[in-house]
Amino acid sequence: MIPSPDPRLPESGHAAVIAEEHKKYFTFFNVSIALIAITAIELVIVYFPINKWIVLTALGVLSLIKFLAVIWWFMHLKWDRMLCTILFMIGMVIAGGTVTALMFLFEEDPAGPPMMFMLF
Amino acid sequence: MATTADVENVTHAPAEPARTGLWKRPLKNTGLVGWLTTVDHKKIGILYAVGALFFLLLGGVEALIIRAQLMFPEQEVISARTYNQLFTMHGTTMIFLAVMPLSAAFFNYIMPLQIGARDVAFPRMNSLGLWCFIFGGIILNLSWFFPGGAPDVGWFAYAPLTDRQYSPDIGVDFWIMGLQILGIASLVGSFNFITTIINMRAPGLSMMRLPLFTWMTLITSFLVILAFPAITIALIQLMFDRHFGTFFFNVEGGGKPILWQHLFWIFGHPEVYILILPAMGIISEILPVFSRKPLFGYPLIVFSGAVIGFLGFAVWSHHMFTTGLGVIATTAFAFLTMLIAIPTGVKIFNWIGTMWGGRIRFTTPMLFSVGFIWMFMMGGFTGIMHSSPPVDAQQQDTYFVVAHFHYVLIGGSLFALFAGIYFWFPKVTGKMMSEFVGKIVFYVMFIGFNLAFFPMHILGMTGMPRRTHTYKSGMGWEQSNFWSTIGAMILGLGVALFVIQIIYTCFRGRRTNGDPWDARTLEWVTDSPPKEYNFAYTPVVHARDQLWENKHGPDSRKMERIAPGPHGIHMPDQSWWPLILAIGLFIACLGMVFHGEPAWWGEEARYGLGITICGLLITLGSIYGWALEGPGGFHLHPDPKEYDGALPAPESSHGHH
Amino acid sequence: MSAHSHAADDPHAALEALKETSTGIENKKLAMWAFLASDCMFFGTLISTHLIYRKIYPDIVDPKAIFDIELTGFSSFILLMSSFLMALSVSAAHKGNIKGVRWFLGGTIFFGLIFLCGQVYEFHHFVTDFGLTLSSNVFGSTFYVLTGTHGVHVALGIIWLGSWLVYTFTDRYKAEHALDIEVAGLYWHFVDIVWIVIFTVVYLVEYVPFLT
Repeated sequence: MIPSPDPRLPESGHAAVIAEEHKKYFTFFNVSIALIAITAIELVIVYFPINKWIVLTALGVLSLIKFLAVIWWFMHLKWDRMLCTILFMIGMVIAGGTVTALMFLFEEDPAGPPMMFMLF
Repeated sequence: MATTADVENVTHAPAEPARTGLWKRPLKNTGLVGWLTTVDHKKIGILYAVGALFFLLLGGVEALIIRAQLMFPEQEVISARTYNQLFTMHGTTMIFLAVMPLSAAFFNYIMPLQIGARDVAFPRMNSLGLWCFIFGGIILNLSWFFPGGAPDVGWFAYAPLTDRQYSPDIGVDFWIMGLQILGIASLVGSFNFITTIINMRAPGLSMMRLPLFTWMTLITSFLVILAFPAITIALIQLMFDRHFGTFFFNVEGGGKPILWQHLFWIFGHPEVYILILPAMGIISEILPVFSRKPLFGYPLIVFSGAVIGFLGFAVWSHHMFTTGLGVIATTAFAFLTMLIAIPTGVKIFNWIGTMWGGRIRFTTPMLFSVGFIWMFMMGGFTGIMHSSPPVDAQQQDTYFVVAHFHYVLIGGSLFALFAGIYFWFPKVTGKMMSEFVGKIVFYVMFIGFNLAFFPMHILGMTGMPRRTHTYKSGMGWEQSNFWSTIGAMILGLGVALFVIQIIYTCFRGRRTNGDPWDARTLEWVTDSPPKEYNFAYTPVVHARDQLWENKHGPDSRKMERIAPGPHGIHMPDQSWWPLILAIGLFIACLGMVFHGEPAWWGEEARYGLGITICGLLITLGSIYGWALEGPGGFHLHPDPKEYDGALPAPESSHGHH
Repeated sequence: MSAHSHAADDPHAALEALKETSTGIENKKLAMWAFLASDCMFFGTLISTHLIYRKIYPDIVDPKAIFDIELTGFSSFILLMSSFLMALSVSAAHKGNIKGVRWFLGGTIFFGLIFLCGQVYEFHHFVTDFGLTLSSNVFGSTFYVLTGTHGVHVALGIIWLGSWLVYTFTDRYKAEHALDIEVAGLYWHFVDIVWIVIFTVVYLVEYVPFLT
């Protein structure tokens, strides 16, 4: 059976789903516009000649917003049970913690790389 | 639980196959085809156990050869190279092919019964995990039969020793691909267990009523899915270093070998808890049964397990104190390592509290459990010693460390797994193992184990390095090494006796009723061995130790039963695809092993990548076959006598589990 | 969860029936989220390898001279758009709007392919014009393996979604397959968020002027 918006099936549950999904359409549209806008901002601010830590912080925050927007709206976490969010966050927290710890565990090598390749 | 198949209302009987992909689905659930295509969690559990016990014996023989070499100073029983291969394969085999799959055997067999489910969430995925384990074991051990032989780089394969320059033979490639495919086995298994435990509990079985073993299965599965990616990526990077000229760990191009250590131990330390948490779960099931008391401090044990699991990700660098991480990092990791001793200690006190004042019966499973507590504590104490960096600097790479982790892995994990086998054997086969022989096995193993490994503490303190092929006489190490070897042989004798006892009991064992131990949890409610559908009814749980309440509790806490609906019980269909998919991965991995090797028909020919691509195409094809075949399913109608007096099924039921 | 006795009558009821689990979350969806949690560690390990070597050898190459930020920025837009279309595909599948599913899935796949082509072009450009290969130096190793692994994820996603697109044209496609499309969508979005992170930490930060 191929489902289609068949007028013979005005089942109340189904109609409610359609109405809800219709609302989601506008949410998704707004989110995608915001995502593009943020990406554009990111592309521009990296060239700002201001303190690099301000730029780096801004980049981090903007990326985090993009990341959260995608998982919250596109990936339906807003409309799903809390457990899905928790499950994913366990992975995010442990992965994030590991990456951070690793970054602190390594320092710049004062000797530099053992061989330098000419690239151009 | 309703699967897609329920909704499709597939009601064909086992005799009429559903529409399948390429061929008819296998319907015979007996004989060789029945075992190869099984999706039944119980059969898969048995296969895991058989495979794991085989590899346990293999790893044990390797250990005995190592001990024979070290029995007397300056011996040459085996060459130094063979010695290196043996300790590498012994470690890898025992961890990935013996202890982990033996735990997985219990996860598979016991956990669904404990939560009152009919099967796991994805039965075919479960089967895939099994076959990946089998093929991973085969790949790893195939290395013995090729020129250059098995890997000889130690089970943690530190860079740059694994580099092409220092390990030109294909042993390391076998090790990489073997571990890779074993990782897939553990990962798919764990996604399945997580989904099953969270989603397929019997009505009324809330998380805080779950049996402790199921809780530990859940936490272990989380550790697997979060720890294995690190080793998977590290192995891919190593593979690229060896085959495609990258510099991840290759100093020549700026790679840092220390990075391998970090990535390995980011996986390796949680792995330690992957090995011990299931054992803790088993102990927490056995102690209450034979003390005739509920588990003391249930919520605290659950919480401690979760804390151990979480902290397990934050202590990996204590394996690397002597590499010079810097004062801050060393201090932080030492502190976190000491911290993790607290939840572990909490558990030990809870187990002792469970026994305190109980009416204890010293059966074989109980003896192994009590042995576990004591031996694990010994290993724990030496572990706390290592958490102090100055002490660790003294003990790094000595036999003291060898003594430490054998106390936690044999005295800990293996004793608990043996306790589990003695405890659940009547559940699986319906036959009792002889208590008399069982106790002999325990005492032989206990004496042999302590004789083998206690002297290693002293050997390590007096400076004997680990992974040493032989030693000079006159170092004061002769006595301890001699007795250690004698102990290892006694331990081997105990394990051999155990295997003989298992085989004997399978054929000649005394039949038993469903609940021979006067047990407490849901798996003992149903038949021993359980029927294909586990429970003829849906159990409705009202208490933590449900079977105990059924027997001795007030009426309000007794279990209710819901009869199956008019459709009967929905069962998944068997399938060939998991096996074929695993074969595809096996071929792809073999191709990668032989990548870069000259072909037998000409020095210039290269065939490795071709084989890999063929293997991946088989894998992709199997995924399509798998998907198009669908879960399938048929309905069974148990004898109404089995659910006599059960509540009628609710009208709308598609077959709750 | 109220279950409907005749699931086949109502596409919505068939989907609701899949939620009859202990938590009300469908098994497949729960397993997918567990997989994504695990995948965070996969990419976490890869990304940290890259960043660690950038930290150890800051001057090994000048990525600004190699990277083409206009192209990569364009690729990022493309992947974000594909994610948007993916969300619409899932929405259409839940509505039972099969035509919508086909169009949106097709669009998602199309944008995914553009992204992949961009990556192939980028790799080709780096190799031929700058001689940066896997074995040039450690930057080449980490960069190609990280972005290549992401590319493999995209390719697998395209195969997966493409299979569903074909499947919608067969009579085997049923209303409850909306869940399968949703699960495939979760994977696709995840590939997108990984790119959001890679785009920032691998590409953009290289452009930050290191003034104090």
